[in-house]
Amino acid sequence: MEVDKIYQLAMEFKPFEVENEVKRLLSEGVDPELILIQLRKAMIDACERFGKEFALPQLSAIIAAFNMGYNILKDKVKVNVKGKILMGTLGSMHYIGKDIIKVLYMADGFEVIDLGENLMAENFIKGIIEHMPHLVGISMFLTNAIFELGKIVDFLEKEGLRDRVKVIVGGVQGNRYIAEKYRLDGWGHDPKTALELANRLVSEARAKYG
Amino acid sequence: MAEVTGLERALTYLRGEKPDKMPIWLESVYLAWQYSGTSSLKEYIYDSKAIALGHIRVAEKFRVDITGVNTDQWVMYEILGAEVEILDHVVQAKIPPWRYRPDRSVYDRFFEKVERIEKNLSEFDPRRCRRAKTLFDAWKIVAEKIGKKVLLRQGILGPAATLALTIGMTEVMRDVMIFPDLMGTLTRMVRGPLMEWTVDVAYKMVEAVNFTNFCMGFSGYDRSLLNPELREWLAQLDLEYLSKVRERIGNDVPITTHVCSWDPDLDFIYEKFGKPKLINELQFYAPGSTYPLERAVEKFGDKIPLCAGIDHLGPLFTGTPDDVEMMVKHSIELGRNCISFALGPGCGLSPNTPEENLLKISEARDKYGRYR
Repeated sequence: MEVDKIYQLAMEFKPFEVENEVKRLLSEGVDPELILIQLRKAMIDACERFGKEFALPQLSAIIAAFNMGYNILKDKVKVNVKGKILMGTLGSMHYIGKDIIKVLYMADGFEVIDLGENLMAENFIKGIIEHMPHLVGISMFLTNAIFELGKIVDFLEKEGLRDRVKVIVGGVQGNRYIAEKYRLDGWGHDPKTALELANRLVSEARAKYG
Repeated sequence: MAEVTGLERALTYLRGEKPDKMPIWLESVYLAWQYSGTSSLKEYIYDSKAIALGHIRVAEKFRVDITGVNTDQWVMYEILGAEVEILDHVVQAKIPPWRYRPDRSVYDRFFEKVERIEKNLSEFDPRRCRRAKTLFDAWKIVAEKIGKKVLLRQGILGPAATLALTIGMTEVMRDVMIFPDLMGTLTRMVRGPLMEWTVDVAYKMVEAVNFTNFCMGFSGYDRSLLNPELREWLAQLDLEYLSKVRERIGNDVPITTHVCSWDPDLDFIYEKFGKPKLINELQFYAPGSTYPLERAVEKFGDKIPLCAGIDHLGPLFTGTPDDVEMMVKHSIELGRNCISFALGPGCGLSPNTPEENLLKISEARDKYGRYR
């Protein structure tokens, strides 16, 4: 199929070619959803290969292809209703880990709201109030703001939202000790685990709260 | 008999011999800030006396034998064009515009700039920038105050990291995949002007801490960070770099290491850098990383000094003093099987690490970590 070329180009680390091909296919009347399927497939396959033949450079290049393609498609495709995930990087500007998982979640059918980077607890809390996600995914690359995790969980408990809104942590400074200390719902130490956690926790939240 | 100083203890350890007790390495940018008494990070970062005071207080309070004095990773690279932002809670690189859209021309512009290094190295002395000057002044103060008592672990990554940290680490890693001709350009830059610059800065740093130490970062050798082909490329450049540094600083100054990554390829690092005796130790993140301390002791313990044993994000940060004592005791028991061993965390400590846990490290070391 013609759209298969999108997947091929993404896996060959050619984001500019992906962008051009998306524009070309749209101009020829190809269904945007079919194009998006190819981008999603590339992302999921890339994460499967992570830790084997792919490392961060390969993944980053495929994310660039996904993002550049998706930017053209985003107003033309349906927003998925598998569940809502809020994400952000706590305390620093580091973004690649978050972006990998964000795009993986999007590829898997979640609606993802990315709050960005350099966030503190108040930013996450504001985001929770505004978007009421099923899951909050927090990426941490430095140790300077770990204590902010406690403030987020305390807020959820105080507002009676703790069961409704699940919280997981990932990134270089995340681990099971941190997850336990701050009463989080899990630690996503690689893309596969992060995806499994999201599916399980969002299902749990949706089963009870819709 | 005079008490052995931390410096003497550390130097004995780095020679592969056993001192009176196992040395302790601890350091933390943000903990030092906390202990400096300066509440504003934006003021602290430009105050050499405050930076020095914070680090000295941490070293003395927690009785460390090895420490470093730092503010952030980018301070030396501002002279090359690295852009940094200083927020209330962090000092870090600004996200460049080419994060959002790869831009090949960034590298050509950078190459034009750094080519000038070969004509006039002094134009690119990092101390021409205020923050690096401040840090050099802080090192002078710390070296004068505690440099005879504590090993000051100071260093800089290799020239490939110089390039990546100046332009953007994630962006460079992405772009070598997207622009196939880029590797050639990068290799020329790294082997040429950036090699010269980085070696020169390495020497200046060693000089600033009275030649106690040079520390080389090896965190790039993480299995999830680089695939084997890129890791090999990086290693060839770092080998060249480290050999030039060694030539410049002489054989008497020990070269320590910093391997804080979660999935370190310790076998690769030892094979490339340890076996040819370019480095004097293997410091790495265990427990806490994917490489167990038990395995490292078994594989390298009889070959090179090891520094590890404190999970700075595990029991040290989240546990009780008893948990810390158990962790230190276990690590010491393993470490006894090495030619020499030092206790150290994976990386810089979190500013909210409980004080009682930090104090417990030296207490447990004194209880269990004596050789004589």
